[in-house]
Amino acid sequence: MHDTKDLTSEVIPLSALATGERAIIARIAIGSRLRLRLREMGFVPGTVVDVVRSAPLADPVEYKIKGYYISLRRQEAKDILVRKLNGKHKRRRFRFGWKAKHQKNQDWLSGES
Amino acid sequence: MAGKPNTRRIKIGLAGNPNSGKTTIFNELTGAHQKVGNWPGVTVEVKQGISHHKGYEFEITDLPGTYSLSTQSKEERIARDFVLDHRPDVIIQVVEGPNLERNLYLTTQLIELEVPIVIALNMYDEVRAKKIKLRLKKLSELLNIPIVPTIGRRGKGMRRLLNAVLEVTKDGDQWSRPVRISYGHEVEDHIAELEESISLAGDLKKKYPIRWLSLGLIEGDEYVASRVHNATALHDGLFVQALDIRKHLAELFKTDPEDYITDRRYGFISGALKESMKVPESRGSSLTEKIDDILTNRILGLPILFFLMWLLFQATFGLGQYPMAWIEAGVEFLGDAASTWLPAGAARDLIVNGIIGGVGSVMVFLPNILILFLGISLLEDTGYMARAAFVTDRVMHALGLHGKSFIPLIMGFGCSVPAVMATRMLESKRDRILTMLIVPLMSCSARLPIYILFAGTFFPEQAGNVIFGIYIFGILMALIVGRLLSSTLFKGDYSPFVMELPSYRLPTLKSILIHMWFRAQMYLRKMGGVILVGSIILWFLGAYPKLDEKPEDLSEIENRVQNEYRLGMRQAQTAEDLNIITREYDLRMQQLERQTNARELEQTFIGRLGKVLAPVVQPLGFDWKMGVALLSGFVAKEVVVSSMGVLYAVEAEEEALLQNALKKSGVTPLIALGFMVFSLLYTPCIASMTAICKESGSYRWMLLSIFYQTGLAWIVTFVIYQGGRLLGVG
Repeated sequence: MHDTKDLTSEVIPLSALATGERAIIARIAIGSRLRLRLREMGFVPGTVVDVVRSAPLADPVEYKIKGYYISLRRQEAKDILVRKLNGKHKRRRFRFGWKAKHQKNQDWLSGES
Repeated sequence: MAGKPNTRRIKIGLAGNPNSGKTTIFNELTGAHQKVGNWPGVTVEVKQGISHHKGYEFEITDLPGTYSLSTQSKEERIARDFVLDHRPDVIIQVVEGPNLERNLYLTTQLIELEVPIVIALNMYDEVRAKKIKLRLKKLSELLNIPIVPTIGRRGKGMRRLLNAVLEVTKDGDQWSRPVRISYGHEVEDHIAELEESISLAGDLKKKYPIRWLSLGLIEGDEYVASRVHNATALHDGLFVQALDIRKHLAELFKTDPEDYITDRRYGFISGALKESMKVPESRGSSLTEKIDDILTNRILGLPILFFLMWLLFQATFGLGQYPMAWIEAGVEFLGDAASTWLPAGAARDLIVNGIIGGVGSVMVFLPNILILFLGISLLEDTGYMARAAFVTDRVMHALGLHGKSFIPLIMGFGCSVPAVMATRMLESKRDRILTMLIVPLMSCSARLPIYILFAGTFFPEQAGNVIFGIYIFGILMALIVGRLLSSTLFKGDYSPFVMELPSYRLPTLKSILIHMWFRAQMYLRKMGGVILVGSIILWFLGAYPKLDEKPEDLSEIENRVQNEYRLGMRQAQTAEDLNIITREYDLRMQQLERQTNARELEQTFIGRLGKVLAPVVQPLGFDWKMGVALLSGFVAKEVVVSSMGVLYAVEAEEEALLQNALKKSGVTPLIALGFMVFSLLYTPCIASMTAICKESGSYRWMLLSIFYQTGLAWIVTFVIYQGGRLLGVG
């Protein structure tokens, strides 16, 4: 599924990833209740996460994990620590004309927090 | 028990993740033979149904959809309690085929409850279409659970599913030994340790699966602990032992034991799937992703949401118009027939004015309500509701709510009762109660008749827009109140937003219709029960006590009119004169009768009540009849219109409709607007109050809801009416 050579050693929060990026979960640093819920939903260390998209108002963010889609607020994703996988994972997305040209790497809010 | 001697009953619990197609399978298995069972202890509506196969009777209970059984939410607790306390013969777990890995997590927990399981691998057509290679036999062996591929939406695999159920219920079969998920020797050693202590603790091991108890204690599951606490007097020793084990494991794994156990469960699943499943490298985006590129698009997402809501309301009101007219005609015919055939008297009066008039005026709105429920079912069953929550969470969160609150709030447009119940999907109690308190501000369908009546009468050109505006106003008030409450009474932590965005699926006509029918049934039941009783009580209050004799002053006038008429007749010279005099006489007599009726009404219980209330509603521009009608809305909001029918029928001439009566009674568009706003905001109906009381677990929230809403309604309407008058609108 993924090549460990691509794995960066640096551990960063999931919320720091941009749309289209992929990472592997390292650890969840949240209080117990939510941590258990996230683990039950499949956020276990070693799992691959894809950042699919942000909601129209930039929050929450949609992720793909274990073959399904789930949304988290940035606030929660901040405490999920991941190692970014390098390489191209961006899927081709349906974009509307003028927007498509400007969209490239311009996830303007994904860098925050 | 009462079944035929040669039929055997098999009790089945239907479990599964949300969106696994569980309900579709339930509908396929039970068809029309289902009822909403009342669950002891909790206020959850759990559906039960019967299915027959090979001479057996299957009693199937549709459990709430859950991702796990960790008792974090009410649903999870219900599903778990069902297995523990109702001892089903078999659990059928419906699994979303294309999303196997996460769905199997629930399976690992079911396995530990040591109940016979059959897996319905649902949406098998999608598995095929996605070219996922599944070795079902291998997976079945690894889990030691029979797996039956099903396609719920086409009803495929149902007989084989029941065959598999029969197979696992046979004794001494290959399926009787559950697979054991190994948690590694450190945990296993401790499990063995605890198991030993538990087996010494009296009846405990007879009541619950011993391994499940040990694991639960190691996981620190409070619910398991409370079960242990209630079942044995030796609980303290067990708790101390479990705590030591937790400490030891936490040091060992550098994480809480429950995390480690969850990881091991997923480890077990990926191990099993590695041997039995091959997912092809995906090329391009899935259909769901493509749809979401548009529906949750940065720019289009919110406009699409609003457009869909707008469409829903246009359909409800526009399309509903036609069947509405037919029902109206039917009710009128029934009323006429009854007044013709029944002998005059109190009984006829009760049937025609009380029952047919009251229930009929509500029945008219059934088409609107059916269309509304159809729309909501469609939004839910396609998977769009979750997107609506996704798109709105930012705003909801800013207001102290949760994106998921959006769904109960939307359902509030249908009926507050299921909407209050839908707050159960929120995990934190704070969010649940907060959402519950503002749900009644979303204008429910029962209030619609009021708007249709008033907007149709006083804003005939703009009726649609005015009603839409009222709805928007309700939403605005809900947001303001939500913000206020969350920053005062509900100050505290926000709960997380962990929500699945299920794959888009075209729901089947059957499941949509059943879904809609269940919703409509609730409305109909309310009509048959609460509203019927409300109409009768109201009719009684409006009809009694009767005047003993005609008031003196009116009798005097009557005498005078009759004398004048006789005199006129004698003096009349031409036929034309006679006509004029007769017409004038009729007119005056009618006027007199109306006055008599009005006097009579003033005498009745309702009249007296209205008089008492009049000073309260007078600053809002309402007369006492409007006050009484609003008061009757406590019973159910639908009753407001029907009681206006009873109240104004008195003044209305034979052929005149309530509309004309309202216009004649001096209601202005400004007052009409105020009345609609007041109806929107004031106290929830009895059914909603009951739901709030039960769901929040305290009558105090119910009282708060009654008082804050009525207070809000009065203040806002006061501002509208007095403000409007100052501006010279009224």
